Amino acid sequence: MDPRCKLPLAVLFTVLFFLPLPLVLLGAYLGALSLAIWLGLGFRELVRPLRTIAPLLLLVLLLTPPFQRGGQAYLRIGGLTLLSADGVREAARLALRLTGVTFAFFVLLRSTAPADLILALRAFGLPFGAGLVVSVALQYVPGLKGLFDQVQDAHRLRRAGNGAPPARGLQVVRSLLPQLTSVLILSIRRIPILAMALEMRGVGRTNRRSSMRRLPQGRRLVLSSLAAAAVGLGAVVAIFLFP
Amino acid sequence: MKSALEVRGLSFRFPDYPNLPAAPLFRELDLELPAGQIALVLGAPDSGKSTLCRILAGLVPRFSGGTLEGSIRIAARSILESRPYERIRDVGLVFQNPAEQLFTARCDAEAAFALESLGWPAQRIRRSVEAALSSLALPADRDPQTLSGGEKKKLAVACLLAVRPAVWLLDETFEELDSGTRLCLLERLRASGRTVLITSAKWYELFGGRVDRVFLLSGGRLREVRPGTASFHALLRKEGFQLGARKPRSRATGGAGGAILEAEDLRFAYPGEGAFRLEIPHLRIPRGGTLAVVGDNGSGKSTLARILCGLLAPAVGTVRFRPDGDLQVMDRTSLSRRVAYIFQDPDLQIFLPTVEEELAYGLRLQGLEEERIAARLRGAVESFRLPGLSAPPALLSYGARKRLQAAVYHLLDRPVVIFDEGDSGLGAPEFVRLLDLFRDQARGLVVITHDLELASRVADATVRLQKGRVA
Ligand SMILES: Nc1ncnc2c1ncn2[C@@H]1O[C@H](COP(=O)(O)OP(=O)(O)OP(=O)(O)O)[C@@H](O)[C@H]1O
Ligand SMILES: [Mg+2]
Repeated sequence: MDPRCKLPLAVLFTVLFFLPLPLVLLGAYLGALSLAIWLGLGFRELVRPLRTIAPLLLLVLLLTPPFQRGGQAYLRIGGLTLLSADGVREAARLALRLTGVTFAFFVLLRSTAPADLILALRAFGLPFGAGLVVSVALQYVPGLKGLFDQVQDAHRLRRAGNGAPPARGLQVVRSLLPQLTSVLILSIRRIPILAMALEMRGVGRTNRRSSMRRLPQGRRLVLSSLAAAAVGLGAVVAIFLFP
Repeated sequence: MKSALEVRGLSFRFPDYPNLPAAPLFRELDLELPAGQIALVLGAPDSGKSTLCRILAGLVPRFSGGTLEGSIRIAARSILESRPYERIRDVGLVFQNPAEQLFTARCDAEAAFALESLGWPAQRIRRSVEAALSSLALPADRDPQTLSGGEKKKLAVACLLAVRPAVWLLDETFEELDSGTRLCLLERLRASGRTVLITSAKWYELFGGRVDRVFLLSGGRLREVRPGTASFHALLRKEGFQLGARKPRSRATGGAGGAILEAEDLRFAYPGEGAFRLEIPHLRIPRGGTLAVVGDNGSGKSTLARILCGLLAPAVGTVRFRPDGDLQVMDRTSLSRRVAYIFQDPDLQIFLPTVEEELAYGLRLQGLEEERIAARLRGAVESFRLPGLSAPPALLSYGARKRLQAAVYHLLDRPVVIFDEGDSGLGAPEFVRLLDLFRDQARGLVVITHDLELASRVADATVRLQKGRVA
């Protein structure tokens, strides 16, 4: 689908997940999104974002109920209600929201080349300068990840088997410290170099920038827009079907 | 003839840093290149080759600070009075470390970026980019991060090929390229009719007759020398741009001690795209000897090294290590403990605030007493010619950073040491000196290099890789 159509859809779904809607409907949206990911990108891609947000989800599920104690109580210890109907509902709502928004943006980012996303943003009036910043950031962040991996490898080789016992608990955090420092030093060192690289490729010129990639025009754009409109409309209409 | 590049009375010094006072780098340096000439600037490590390139490109002192005097004109306009982005059709630079230059997620986007800045129409950009990438056999859709070291360098060159600026600055670009690519690149440059300045710490035979001028950068000045004469070759040896006549070195009983590390039936493929497969039926690193690994860019040398030191897990196959008696099969952690892998890029392996902490880090983890640590550090500073314990590694020169990186692994005392393109940026004689510090009856060394002369000189055995297989 055309990124110019995917972008508003992602925004629409984000908004939908934040509307005070019945749980069933939120569940249905999430189901539809998951189905789309499964069919479009495969099962593994469905698990990946889930794994990233899993710790957060767990926290939400564990911590919400004790603070929402209304409704029928399911679990009480002493005089304290730990689990109640309201609590469960609220926890489920938050979890659905979190997962839904994550999925919506995951689909967008995962199925769109960064360059196309920038083109789409620009089609919606994002000024060129901001587009460039977003685009360099979008591409530089994975680069930093690569840098971190390499630094981690370097540390692994140097630390290995110096009689030091394997790190546990807090020690893990402490042993990460030098690595984070080196990534920090390296990235600070790289900032002026990145600026040099950018200027050598013409960043800063005042003339209009062109683009090698173009988003398709004509029939494909029309089809894409129709499909996006249908999905969007369906999602909105569903709100009114569940009074 | 009109000169494309004209430097007059260039003097420069970097700003001072605590513990690291700056000396003047260039003094009254002059250089004039007529349009269409190819010039080679030979300079020892730390002689200022990269800084010279950056000054000519207008990046220094703009991004670094420092004081500069003199005039620099490219295409008849002063470089000091314009911004680099205004001059991208006039001058282009390939960084010594191309990884620092690449910032997009696809090779074709990388090569197209400068043309997009120029505002060219899409059709024309596409034609240019396709031609540039295909002439260096580069893929359009790969992520530049996943390219091999040499392939990254080729991509940075392709970015210039797409723009075709009037003056090309190639900062040690011929390092880390295989000999076929080197020749092809130099021939293309000659055919292009552009003005080219190449820096190098090494004299390659292919330069003879293919570069128009040769300069020596030392003591902050450029001196023109005439290649082909006997005195020229004497000079190359004396200054370390070429290995001297074969010296009898303390070659250990190469191989007689058996193998210290042996790999059997290794297979490996990177996940996802790409057709690269590594298949090594048998590989043996001699105890007390040196194994050289050579092969074209992207043939799998670094990949093999990463498997041997336990950073990558092979899909199939085993690596065995012999402490004393029998060879033992090793898992990845045990390999990391025994095999040191010295990355080509020293900056990824040094990361602490001072030389002292850097060197002592591993020893303190081993629980050595401070007194013994101090003694060993003093020894290391001396034998690796480091500038002192309190200097900040991040601000040392490239050569000093490479020596520090080697010193770190020397102190860790691993029984197997792999050098990945250790001679790049250092020159062969300097690298041989470093290597000699590691020679030991009980240690096995692996040297990955594109310099066949160097390989035959230092190694007891050589393995040539080709498309992931032993050729
Ligand atoms: N992370 C990665 N993902 C996918 N492919 C990779 C990755 N790293 C390397 N490759 C590919 O594997 C092949 C071998 O790479 P390797 O770095 O081992 O080559 P090399 O022999 O060290 O080359 P060079 O002389 O250029 O350093 C190359 O084709 C490279 O593009
Ligand atoms: Mg390599």
